[in-house]
Amino acid sequence: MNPSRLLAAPLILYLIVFFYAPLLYIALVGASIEGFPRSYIEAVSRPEFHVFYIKGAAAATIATLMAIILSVPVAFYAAYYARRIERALIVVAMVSTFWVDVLLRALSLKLLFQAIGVSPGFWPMVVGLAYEVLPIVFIASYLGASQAPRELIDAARTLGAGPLQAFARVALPISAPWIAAGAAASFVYSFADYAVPSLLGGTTGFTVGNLIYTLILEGDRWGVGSAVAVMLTLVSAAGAALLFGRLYRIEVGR
Amino acid sequence: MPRPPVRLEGVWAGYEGRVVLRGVDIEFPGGGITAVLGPSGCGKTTLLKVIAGLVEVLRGRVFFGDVEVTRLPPERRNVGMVFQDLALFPHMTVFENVAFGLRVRGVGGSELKRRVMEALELVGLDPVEFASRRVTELSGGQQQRVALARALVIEPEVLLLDEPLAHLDYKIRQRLVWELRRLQRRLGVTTIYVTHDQWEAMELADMLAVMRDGGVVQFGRPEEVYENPADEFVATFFGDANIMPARLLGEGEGLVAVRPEDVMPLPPGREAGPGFYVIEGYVEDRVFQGPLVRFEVRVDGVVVRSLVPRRIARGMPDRGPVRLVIPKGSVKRLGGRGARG
Repeated sequence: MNPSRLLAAPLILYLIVFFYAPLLYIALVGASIEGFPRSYIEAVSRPEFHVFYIKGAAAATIATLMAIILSVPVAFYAAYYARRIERALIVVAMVSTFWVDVLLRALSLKLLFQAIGVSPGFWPMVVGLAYEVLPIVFIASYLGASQAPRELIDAARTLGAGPLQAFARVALPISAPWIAAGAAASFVYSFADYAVPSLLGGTTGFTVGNLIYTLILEGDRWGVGSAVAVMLTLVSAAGAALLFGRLYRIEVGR
Repeated sequence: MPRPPVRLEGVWAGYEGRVVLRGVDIEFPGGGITAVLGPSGCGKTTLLKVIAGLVEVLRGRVFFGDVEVTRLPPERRNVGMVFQDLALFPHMTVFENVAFGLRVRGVGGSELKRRVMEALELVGLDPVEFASRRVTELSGGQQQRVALARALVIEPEVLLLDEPLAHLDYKIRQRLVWELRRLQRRLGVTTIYVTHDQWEAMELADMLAVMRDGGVVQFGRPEEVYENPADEFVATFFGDANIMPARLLGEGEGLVAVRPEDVMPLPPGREAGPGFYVIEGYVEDRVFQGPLVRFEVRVDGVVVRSLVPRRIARGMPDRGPVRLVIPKGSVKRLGGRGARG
């Protein structure tokens, strides 16, 4: 074996111990308690669960779209037109929300909403989710914008394209896979999120994260809960694989 | 197609508060090729971008013919530009890259196809073979041709080339330079070719502008510039030159430049005529350069380079004393700030 592969060992070990092994444990225990594939069939087919899936997907989609609409213009501005200091400030400002813990952010938003008289529900939850994923989408969009160097825009302009046309025909298509990757990550993150829905969702804003929590820790339905968790993970992994495959093809120019 | 001259009047320009061009006055002749030669950082790329409208002019004015374009955005100037890194659109095929300028002008259908194919043929790319290829799959020379086709297909009034051959191998570069020259003669588009390579400048240029520190230090026909360099910088940047201190009659101490090919060894037993200076030296090195041989001759503590045709060099020693003759007319007095004190 190539010794340089050992460089990856600590991280892989870490992930195995703290993520993959517990996940596998949940999957195995879940399957052994309620039987495979019975718990999976129930997880997919029970109508009460569908509300969670649909609401969760809707909230995640809207939050992701909001994050894209908010961060893509800023990302392009930062990548193309901002001066160096301005660019650094924008990036720091956009990413700095990450420095505050997820729970604290959700909690502070909850207090803020309370102060202006907005009670928890679907839309406050969506706003909270968008707030959570904004840095993810921004970083991806910024990286995407950096893939289309300024010179390509200049080339488009000399060829007769106005600023908007140059953006639409050159900058956007080149950065689109990156924005899409950010969007996918943002969707997966908010679809599975637990903190924001439980703090800001009230009684109507339940999502998949709540469902898993409720099934496993409150309803004592380990089998079905694990089935939902495993399926969620698999769907996310498949999405990520598809996207990174596409990014890779673009990188190597196929 | 109109072939307007491009004129800059007292142009100052730069980026983010950094001034790069400092009062450039120049007129690039319509229909010809002007080479802009200078070391990196001298402002030659900025000069092109000012003409293309990609860099804001801080002071001064830019004209295409009689039309002032100083404040015109790039998309309204009808300029074809080939960028240093080519700036091909990586997400498009060869066809789509070339078609870009036509599509944004609303050209479509069979006319679009015909013009793209013609442009590809013009630059020596077989349209059938290349049209559907991705630009990232092409060799450097092929990408170069695509970039040129993309710039030419819009029938620009002015063609700007920013060191387009810098990254290519010598042989391909040589071929492309020759092709470019033929192509430009055929199309007659006003062309400005930026390079730091004096060979490219000599091969291509009708007119030559030598730049340094954000200004044009000399402008003229390449031969004129070669024969009468304005200062030490021009003398050594465009061609090679021996720079020697000299006492000038009635003018005191100064610097003179002599081209190495004007310094010739005098065969033993021969005497020079009255039109020549004769100096004694000592051959320290002999460097074979193909058609020519370069001798490094020490004269009074200064090394003088002499460039001699191969046949004449045969009778010369590798080391040893030698007498050099220099035609009096080939010694050029240097002025300006290039002179070392």
